[in-house]
Amino acid sequence: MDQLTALLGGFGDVLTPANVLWIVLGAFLGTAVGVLPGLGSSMAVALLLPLTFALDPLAALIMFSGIYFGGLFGDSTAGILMNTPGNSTAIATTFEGHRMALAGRAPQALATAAIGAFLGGLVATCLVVLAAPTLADLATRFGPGEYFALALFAFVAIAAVVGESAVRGLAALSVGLALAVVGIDQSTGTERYAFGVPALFDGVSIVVITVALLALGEVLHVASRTGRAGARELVPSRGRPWLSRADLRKALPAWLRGAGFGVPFGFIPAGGAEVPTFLAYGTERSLDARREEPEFGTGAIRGVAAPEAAGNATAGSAMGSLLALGLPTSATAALLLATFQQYGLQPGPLLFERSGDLVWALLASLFVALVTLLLLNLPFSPLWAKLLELPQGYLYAGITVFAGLGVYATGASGFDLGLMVALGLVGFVMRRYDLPLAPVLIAVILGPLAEYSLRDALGNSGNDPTTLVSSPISVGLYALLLLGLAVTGWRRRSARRSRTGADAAAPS
Amino acid sequence: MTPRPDSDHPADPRADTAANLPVTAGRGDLVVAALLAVVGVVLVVGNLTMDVVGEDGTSVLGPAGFGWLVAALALGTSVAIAARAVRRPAAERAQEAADPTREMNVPAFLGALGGLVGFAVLLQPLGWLLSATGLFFAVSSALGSRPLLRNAAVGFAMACVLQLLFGAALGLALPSGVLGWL
Repeated sequence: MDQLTALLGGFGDVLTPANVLWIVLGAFLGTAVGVLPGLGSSMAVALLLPLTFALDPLAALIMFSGIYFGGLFGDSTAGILMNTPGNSTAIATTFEGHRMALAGRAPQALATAAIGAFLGGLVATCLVVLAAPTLADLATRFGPGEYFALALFAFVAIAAVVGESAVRGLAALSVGLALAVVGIDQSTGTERYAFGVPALFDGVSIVVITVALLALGEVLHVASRTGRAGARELVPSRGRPWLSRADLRKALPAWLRGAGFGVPFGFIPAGGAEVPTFLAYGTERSLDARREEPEFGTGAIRGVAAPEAAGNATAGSAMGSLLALGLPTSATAALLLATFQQYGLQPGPLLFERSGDLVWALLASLFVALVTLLLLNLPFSPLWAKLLELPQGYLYAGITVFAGLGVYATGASGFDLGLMVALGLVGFVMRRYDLPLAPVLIAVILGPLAEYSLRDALGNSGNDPTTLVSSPISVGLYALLLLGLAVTGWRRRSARRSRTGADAAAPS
Repeated sequence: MTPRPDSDHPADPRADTAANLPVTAGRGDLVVAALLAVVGVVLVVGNLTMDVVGEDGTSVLGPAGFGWLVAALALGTSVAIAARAVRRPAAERAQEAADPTREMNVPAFLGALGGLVGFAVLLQPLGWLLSATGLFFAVSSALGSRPLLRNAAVGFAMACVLQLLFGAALGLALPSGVLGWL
């Protein structure tokens, strides 16, 4: 029960007026970017990261975790009321949620989503509190070989197993790795890929990369689609968000099943909560089809409850794998890792020993953030939807100015600004031609770990490649990876076969 | 995974003939392949011109080894994506060329891009207030926001607020530029 004592100490650190203010601010911003389609928690953190120089680490980290969770609370609002999910993580919720809204049950759908997000996050965060020290203990047995296995696992999982196309995922990965190797080599001092430009000797700043890819790429993409988007219509949400006892009886098991899907995915670098939300939705739908009175298609409350709980459960366990293993499993988690690095902290097993106070305060802040978000979202969802009436031109122009300010704030260099524009164009090309962004971020952040642990492992063993598979931990990771690849290959093949079968059967 | 409303529509049969189809139609992936090729070539050139200093313990990889692996990955995926784009069936290409969710508003895109380039070039000489106002004006106008004068006014207001908040209150040194001479 050491964890409980430590957690109580964390609550003591967090429940100061200033820190509660940062949590509320994070929750507010997170919900806002979650509601707005096209914006997400990763973009919000990327824009704020360069401006946290005035904050202490705890204040910045609790605000960012508030944004992370908040993004997953807000994303379903626009999906339910307008059929335009604020993020890909809310697509699964939108199917039944918007039907509930059309049937006049918008308040119930919004309440189910908010409570689901709360419960999912709560279950996962409790598990993290219980399991994190054990995980961190396991990670102390990691040497260079194991760290290389972990990084390779993250790369291949995010690039090949989860995305729609393995080639495109690997392509995105190579862009990120290329950005990561620029700069003076840490172990020899050799100048690499800087081509004599002194501004590149320290490498490409992570802030420039994230701001350009996540914010400017989106701005340019929205600009390229000006006047080409379809109109949106808001379904009004009238009445109180009370759930009847019958609703609760249906929703509660679905919330818990959803959380069950979400928790394991936080530990796998699957690029976030999209996959578990769809798994949770699919499970509820097939369970529903076996009931006497199937509700799916007419606005089923279970179809809203399960994906929402799954989404936030993923965020909770992603915090656990970030803190205990130093493994970011989604784009926003990768940015939180960058935040740790900015303050000279390296997440992973040693974090619990060296900065235990910070970790436990951060974990305590997750609980405070969840309660804050429930209070912000449960009664006020329809108000949040008003954000959608913000003039798009001003919103994106403001984001652009903020991006410029942030990049200038980190280095005060004109070179960084030029690089920002160039990478913004890369971000635009990636969006326009469906190249996933998450592999780039994971590669930029874990690239150095992968390279130096591989070189250390080989160097320490006299260049014996079998050293990479000499410990049970690395063998286990590689086995898990091969299993994932095999399952994915089999799934893709059967999907393709059933698609061609359907095409052949179709009259055209 | 976003469902595209028109993806289920069969392509217009008249557009099906490869003869009427521009060579570039439905081959946007060549842009991606070119980007990856540039990444790979830059890494290869960097490796060949690298002036290795110091000793890297005993690892075979050295400072350039990992770069070779990444270059191979970039060039390999570039070739794979380019090959797929070139071999695409005409029907599939016609369908994508006709896809309204792929249309591009070129003037708006160039307006926003121009605003960014201008900001990067002019921030130091013109100073924060003027260049940030210009950036806001360019992006909001490109996105169709009108009237233009109000775009500039809102941009100037935002630039002032950020200058006061981060410059005066938090001590961030933003360039004052020409307004600093007044």
